[in-house]
Order: sequence, then structure tokens, then C-alpha cells
Amino acid sequence: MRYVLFICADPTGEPYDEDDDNVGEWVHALQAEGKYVLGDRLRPVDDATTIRVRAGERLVIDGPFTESREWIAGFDVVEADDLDEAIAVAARHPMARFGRVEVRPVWPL
Amino acid sequence: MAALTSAESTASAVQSVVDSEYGRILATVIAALGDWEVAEDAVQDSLARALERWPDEGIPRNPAAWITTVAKRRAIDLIRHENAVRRASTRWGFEREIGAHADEDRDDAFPDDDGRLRLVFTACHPALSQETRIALTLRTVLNISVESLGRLFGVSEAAMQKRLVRARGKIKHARIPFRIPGEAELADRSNGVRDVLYALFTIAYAEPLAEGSTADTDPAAEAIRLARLCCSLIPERTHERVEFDGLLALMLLQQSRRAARVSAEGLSVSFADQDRDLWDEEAAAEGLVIVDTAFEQSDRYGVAAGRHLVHAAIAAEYMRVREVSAIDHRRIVALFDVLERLDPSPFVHLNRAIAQANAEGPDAALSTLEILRPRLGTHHLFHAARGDFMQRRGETEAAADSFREAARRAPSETDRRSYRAVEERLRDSERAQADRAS
Repeated sequence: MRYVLFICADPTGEPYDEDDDNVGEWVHALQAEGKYVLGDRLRPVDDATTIRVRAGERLVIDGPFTESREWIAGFDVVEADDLDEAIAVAARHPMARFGRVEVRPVWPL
Repeated sequence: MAALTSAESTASAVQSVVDSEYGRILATVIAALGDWEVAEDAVQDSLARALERWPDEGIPRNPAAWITTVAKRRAIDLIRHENAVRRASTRWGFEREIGAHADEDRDDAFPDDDGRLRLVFTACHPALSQETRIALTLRTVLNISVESLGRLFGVSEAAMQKRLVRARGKIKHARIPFRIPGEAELADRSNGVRDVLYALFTIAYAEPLAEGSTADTDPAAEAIRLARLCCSLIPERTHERVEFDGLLALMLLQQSRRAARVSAEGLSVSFADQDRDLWDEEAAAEGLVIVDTAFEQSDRYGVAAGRHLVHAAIAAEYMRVREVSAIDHRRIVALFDVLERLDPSPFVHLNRAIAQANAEGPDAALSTLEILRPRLGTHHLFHAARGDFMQRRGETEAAADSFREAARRAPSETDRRSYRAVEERLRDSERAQADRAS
């Protein structure tokens, strides 16, 4: 089953360690197991644009959908048999340490 | 007296199955079908069907087996219906051959488990909130009614039902697996289960046993029941069993004094002042036996004791002797030294300070206490301990001030009134001293 990992910045996280925190390694390990679907880093929220349509009118706003200090820095779609496996995978992502990772099950249409 | 009607004897037979077998039946159906939500509906349906059919067909020789079989079939029907309505999609567990026994899922490390341990571990999964874990465990393992659960958490029955529905939905949608965790996670997850059970137990202590309380769910009793169940299903000579034994013993020892903890005026009674005639001797005796046996097993088989067993050992030291003066405080301090290494909670340090005061006098303990001020300075127990130490030193005014601080931060009305009562006594005593002096 697929899970989406929202990789989030978190100001209360541990400090980033250039040597240990290698996202590329994490991705490659999953790819080797055939569990990686797709994913990428995202530009910071300064580069985000939020769109709403209300009463037929399009509202375009500079910035993310949320005002909180935490923001989504990237996303990964992975395959896992169950939540325990998805949690284990997410916990190995370097940003689980200096950020936080939301694990969301996919709900196929 | 007229014989029971077939409807009455059916109702009684069904109730009997529910009382003793519900958790087992549910676990069997979940394991077979891989869907918790559907399983619960199916079991409820089969109970209804039993009530309909048994008056005519007679009560089966093995009522639980009848209900299990009917529930499994019903679950299959429900899943088929769901799939017919939805567009085709992969379904967890449905790929498994329907109706096949879940033997391949039986964990050899837990051969005694009849499915209820799997229920407990799944209901206590960290992906669910603590309150949800407690409610779901009580509902599915002990079949506590939704209405009782609502009262336990101070919410309406409808709100509790919604919470349970959401929890089952999450188990299904996020695929929380129905199993006892593997070796790598077992210690952590078992700790989680024990935390859930102890949290449930302490709900009862948030307010004391109400006068004439007829609550059908005593959280402390249910927590003890669940702990007993876990102990019976976990193999001996394992760390997990030792810890669950420790937890059970701890709860029994604390529970044994429950009736003596609150005075007729609704104030907390300190350990030293408790009326021992109100203690439940049987519970205390059982707690002591469990602690001593668990330590013996731990020594003999080289199985490490954890924080629950050590905590139980400390509680046991207070209960071993008839006279308060005979309590071995030095041994208690030594046990706290061990507990501090296993449990980093600042409250352990606080309780060690109290034990230190009992063993060595209040002076050294006061210094220990001050070290905790940055972490615990806003907590009522810190100020209560400080007040107690000041009182022992004869610093009555300072002690009264501390108890006032404790009252300000008290989490319950009983605690607040109890602290204020102590403060008043101290101020009266201070005034009496001052009067004599002048």
C-alpha cells in the first residue's frame, strides 16, 4: 500500500548534520528494495502560491496554505505493507531528526 | 418456579459467551478476515442472530464456536458487499484466502495467546492517542459498554462512539497491523501497553472512590484485569512477563490501600495515618507474592527487571510490615537508586528525596529537592514534599507556606482541600507556639 510522507521543517528539531543527514542515501536504499515510488524536495514557502476559487472568482495568494512556522520541505511516496513498516521508513529519513515527517495513507479514488 | 423460557435461557447463554469469550471471538474474526471494523460489526450481528435462532434451534453444544463461525461468514458477506459497491481496489487481508485459519500469523514467541494479546497490542498502537488506546482496549478486550466508557472520560455516549469509530477507521485506513510486534519493537511497544494500563489505573485516583459509587466500570479494577490477562498470555522467564508482573503487583499494592486513602471528610490521608483495617489484605498479599516471585525468577533465570517491577518492589516495602516504624527506608532508597537508572522521570528523583528524608532526615533531602526545582518547581508534589521536609525540621511557618503553594497548584479539589487543611494545622500550631513563647 502507498503512503505519502510529508517532510516538514520543524524549528524544534535537532540540528542538521551534513555528514549523517543524507537524504539521497535514504532514497537509494528504498529504491533498492523496490519501495520508492516518487518524491522530491520542494522550494521553500517563499516560492509558494496558494489558489482558491470562491463564487467563481479566482484568488491567488503569495505564500503557503498554512500560517504556521512549520512547512512542507519535501514529499516522498513509498510502498509499505503496513503502518509499522511506513513508520520505520519515515523514522530513517534524516529529516525525522531535524524536522518531522507526517505519514499519510493514500486513499485511492 | 417456572422454568426459564427459551428466550430467557438463550439470553443468558449469549450473555455468558459475551462475558467470557468476547475478546477471543473478536480476535479470531479479525485475524481471519484482516479487518477490525468489519469484524466488530460481524460479531455483533452474530450475537443478534443467536438470540433469534437459539430459542427455536436450541442452544448449541459449543456456543462460542457457533458465534465465531457465524461471525466469520457474516464478515465475508459484509466485505463482499463493500467490494461490490466500491470500485475494485486491493484490500488488505482480503487477498488472503477467506475463512482460512490465521495459523500462519500465530507468533511462536507467544504460544499462549488466544488472540487477545494481539488485540491489546493493536489497540495500544502508538499511532492512536492515549485516550483512544484506553477506550479501544476496554471496549474490545473487556467488552466495556460505550456508555460506561463515555462516563469514564466525561463525554457523551455519542461522542465516545464517534471516537471509537474513528479509531477503527484509522486502524483500517492506515493499516495498523493486527499482531504482536516483532522482537525489535516488542520492548518499546510493551512499555506502551503498560503505560496505557497504568494511565487507566490512575484515572480512578484522579478522584477517590465516590461514596456509594456504583460505577459499573472501575478503571482500577479493569486495569488490574487487563494486566492479569497480559500476564497469563506472556511466557514466563521473559523480560516482558517480569515487567507485566511488576505492573500487576504495583497496581494491587496501591489498590489495596484505596479505601483508606481518603477520610470521611474527603481529605487525603497520609500513609502513616491510614487505618490499616481498611486495607484489602488479600490484594496486598497477592501483590507481595507476585513481586517476590518475579524477583526470584529474575535472579534465577537472568531476566532483567524493569522499572515496573522495581517500582512494585518499593511499594512492597511499605506493605511488608505491620508497624510503620519497621519499614526499611534504607532499602527503599537503594531501590530508588536502581529505579532512577531505569526511569529518568523527575518524579522518581522526587520520590527518592522523600525516601531519603525517611531514611536520613530532612536536611540532605532538602538539598536533593532544590536540585529538582527547575524541573518540578511548578508541580504541587514538589511543594508538598518541601512542606513535609520543613515540617520535620520544625520550620512550621515555611512548611505552611509550602503547603499553600501546593494547594495553589493542586490538580483536584480533594488535593487542594487536603493541602489547605495541613497548612491550617501548621499555622495553628505556629500560633500556639508563638503564644507559649510570649
